[in-house]
Amino acid sequence: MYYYIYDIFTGSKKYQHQILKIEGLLAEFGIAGKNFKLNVLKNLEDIIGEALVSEIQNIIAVGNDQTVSKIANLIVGKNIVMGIIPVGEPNILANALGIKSAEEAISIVSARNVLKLDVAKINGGYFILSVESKDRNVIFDFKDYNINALPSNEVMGVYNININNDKFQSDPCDGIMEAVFKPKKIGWFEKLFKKSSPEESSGVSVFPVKKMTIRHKKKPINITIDRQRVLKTPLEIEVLPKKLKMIVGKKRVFE
Amino acid sequence: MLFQSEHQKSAEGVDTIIGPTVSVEGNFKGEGNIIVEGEVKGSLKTKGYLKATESSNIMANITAGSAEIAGQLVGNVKIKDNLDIKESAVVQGDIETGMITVAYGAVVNGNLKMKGGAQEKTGEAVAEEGGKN
Repeated sequence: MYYYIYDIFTGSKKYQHQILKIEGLLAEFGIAGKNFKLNVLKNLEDIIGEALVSEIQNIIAVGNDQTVSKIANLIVGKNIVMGIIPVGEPNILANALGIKSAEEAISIVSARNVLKLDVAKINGGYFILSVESKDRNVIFDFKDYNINALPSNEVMGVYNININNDKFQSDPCDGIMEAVFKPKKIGWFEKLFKKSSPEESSGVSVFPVKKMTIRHKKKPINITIDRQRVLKTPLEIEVLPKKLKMIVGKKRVFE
Repeated sequence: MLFQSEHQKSAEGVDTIIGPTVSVEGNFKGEGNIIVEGEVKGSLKTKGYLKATESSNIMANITAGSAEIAGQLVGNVKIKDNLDIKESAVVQGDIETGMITVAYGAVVNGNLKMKGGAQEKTGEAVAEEGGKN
């Protein structure tokens, strides 16, 4: 049995045609289920609670990254498999999981290839993708040692999935996330005078993460979580291995 | 975890890269292989392989399974197996290692103690002499 949770915005006229098409395809694939269209009166917690009581094993988020994040935060560690039918923007997680369109998502949901993904606990909530900042006064505190960004650094973050296609690989099923520091891009003028060698590195720093704190040298600041919400520092992060069951596609960005 | 750049292929199964845009302060302890291209202050320990490139600036005591040093290092070095000091290296500190290679042009200021390797060689020599008798 499938529960389909449609985010509020999918009820707008803009998505009417696409939603009708999705519902038609779900029936065609024989995986139609109970539909919940979120609105101000319909609480997501109540739907998930009902699913748990009814021992529903599949919840499909119909919406964007925010929809997925809201639902995922409620089912981490529960015996529920989550799928995504991407509608609207952004859909970074769906893309990373190999789900490129709503039409493709339906055959992926139907195939039901399930992976147990790591998630990270962060100040009481969870994140699946990333935590990112460009503030050079942010410190990654690993208790026994600290990592500080030098002026040549551009961005730093903790990643479960390598969503930027940077020069490292991450496995969201290995119980470890990656703390990554990326250098500023060098302009063409600087490149002319820069000594280069065949062994030149990408300049990216990578540290394995199981537990850490992100803090700021001077004051609490906002840090972007999963590219769609913010939390204030200090942020306590702990990786919880394989706590989220997700339906994934073959074209996912990891093995 | 595997990394993709050409530079990093030289050390398979690298777990940590301390790149040129970061400074690590404190007692860093890793289980796997480590590449250092940036700054480290404190101590650096791994059971695996440590590669400190030409751009590295380490002010820390190092303990590793084996290591290659090509940058600036102030601190004592304790290596279980092989230590390879490259021509660009400047090392200030005592070294304790199983085996060592020092390239022409490298600067090393400190005491050198060869532990396992020297004893084994002495043992072999005694055994050979014993065999002759």
